[in-house]
Formats: sequence, C-alpha cells, structure tokens
Amino acid sequence: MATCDYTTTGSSTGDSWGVWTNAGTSTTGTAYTWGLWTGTASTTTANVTNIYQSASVYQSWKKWTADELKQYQEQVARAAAEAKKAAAEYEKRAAEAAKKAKEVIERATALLHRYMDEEQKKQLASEGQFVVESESGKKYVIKKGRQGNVYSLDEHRKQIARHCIHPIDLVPDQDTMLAQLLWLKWNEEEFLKVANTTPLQVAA
Amino acid sequence: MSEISIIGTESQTSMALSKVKGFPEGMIPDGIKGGDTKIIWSADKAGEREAARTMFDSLIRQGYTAFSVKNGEKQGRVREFDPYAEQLIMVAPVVGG
Repeated sequence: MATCDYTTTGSSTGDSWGVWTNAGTSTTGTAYTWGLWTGTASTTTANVTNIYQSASVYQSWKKWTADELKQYQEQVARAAAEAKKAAAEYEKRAAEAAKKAKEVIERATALLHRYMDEEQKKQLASEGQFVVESESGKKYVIKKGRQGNVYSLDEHRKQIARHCIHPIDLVPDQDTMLAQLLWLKWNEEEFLKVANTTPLQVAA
Repeated sequence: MSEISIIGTESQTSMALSKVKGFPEGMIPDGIKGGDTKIIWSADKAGEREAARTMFDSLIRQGYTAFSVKNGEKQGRVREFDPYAEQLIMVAPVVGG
C-alpha cells in the first residue's frame, strides 16, 4: 500500500506526487491534475473539468458569438439596405402617382372648361363654385366636390335645397362636376329624380 | 376628327373598350390613364366609325348617358350614336349620394 506517499513517484493511484506531476504511469487516476491542466491526459475516465478543454470551449464560444455577431450585423445591414431600397421605391411610386393624379386633374379640368362659359370659369376660379341654368330656367350652383355639392337657388340666389348626386365611379371632382353640369343642363328632370335632395331652412 | 370622352373608372372604360374587336390602328388610346378617356375617330373611315359606334352602344347598355357637341353647338343628351358629332361625352351611371 502506498497511500498518501508524497515523496515517491510510484505508479500507485495514491501516489500524490506522481499524480501531480504525471510522473506516474497511471492512466486511470481520477485526479490526474497535470494532464487535466494541460489537456494532455489520455485518461478517459477523468470526471473533473479539464481546464484546458474548458479554455477551448471558451474559445469556441467566443468564436461562435463573434460569428453570430457578424451574422447579426450582416442581417442588420441587409435589412437596412432593403428598407432603404423600399423607401426609394415608395418615393418613386408616390412621385409617379402624384404626377399621374396631376395629369388626370388637368385633363378633367380642361374637359370641364370646354362645357363652361367664361363667367362660370371666372366663378369657379374665384369662388370655387359656378352657377348653372337649366333648360327650365331654374338656377343651381355647383361647388367643387363630389357629394352634396349641388344647390338649388331661389330668385334671390339663396340656396334652398342641397342635392347629392354623382357618378357611381370614383372620378376626379372636375369630372363629377362636369357630369352634374351636363345632367342639370340637359337632363334636369332625371337629375332631380335620382339626386338625394335635402331642403334647407331659409330664414324669413 | 371626332372624339368620345368617357367619364368613368379605368376598369369600366377598359371593359367597354374590350367589347370593340379589332380597333383600327391609331384609334386605340395610349393606355387608360384614370379620369376621362378620350377616343378619337374619323367619320370618313368606316372602320373607325363602326368601332366608335360599338363602343358608344356598349357604354349606353352599361347605363352611361351621352351628351353631344355638333357644329360647335352643345346638343344636350343623345341616345343614338352620331358619327358626325364633334364630341360625345359619356358619363358613367350616376347615383344619389
């Protein structure tokens, strides 16, 4: 028995010096300190943490986190680039839509003007509304808009009723106003049948 | 030259145009752009005249109302296609709001 022998370099598992220095030949020691420290132990039965191996694990973790960080940074950069591209695309489409809307309104205004006399054009430009006289001699005012923008006028040009009528399709206001103008001027009877009419309170 | 100005949505106008088979070259509008759509035809060219008539009839069947200008005078509402009208305005069906 060579237990607790601090001085010899025997091969016993209890030979402390041998265990510490690895001078022993045991490969089954559970506390093969030097080997565990350096990671050179060939023992496969050690059940304590190999510090060197732990260091390797740490290195791996460090590398893994660095890779993760790099990947994350790349993802962020990609997302930022995509967001920038999407924003540019949105700006481009918004500009195109605005240009198209401007052209549509200009075209609709030109068409409306072809059916207005000079006085009506002046009224629309200065007041945002114009007066129409139907074939029956009644007078109406059409204000800029789409719904509830037509009013019957009395002989004193006071508004006495509001009419809501418009094309079923959503078209520019100028096209709607032209439709109202045409219907009032040459299709007044049907205009009044179709329109939703609200009498207005007139102060005595 | 005469013209039809159609006040309606792109989809309705496109549908009306699709009813006309074989639009004569030069008569097809350069894309439906939203708002009113203008179709130009010549009364002297039979193909164009008939294409305009087909489109007019198609729109009337869809509930459009037509107003005409002829010889510089506003003619008011018309129910028949007039190949010699200078301008026809086709208004999409209207509803009470």
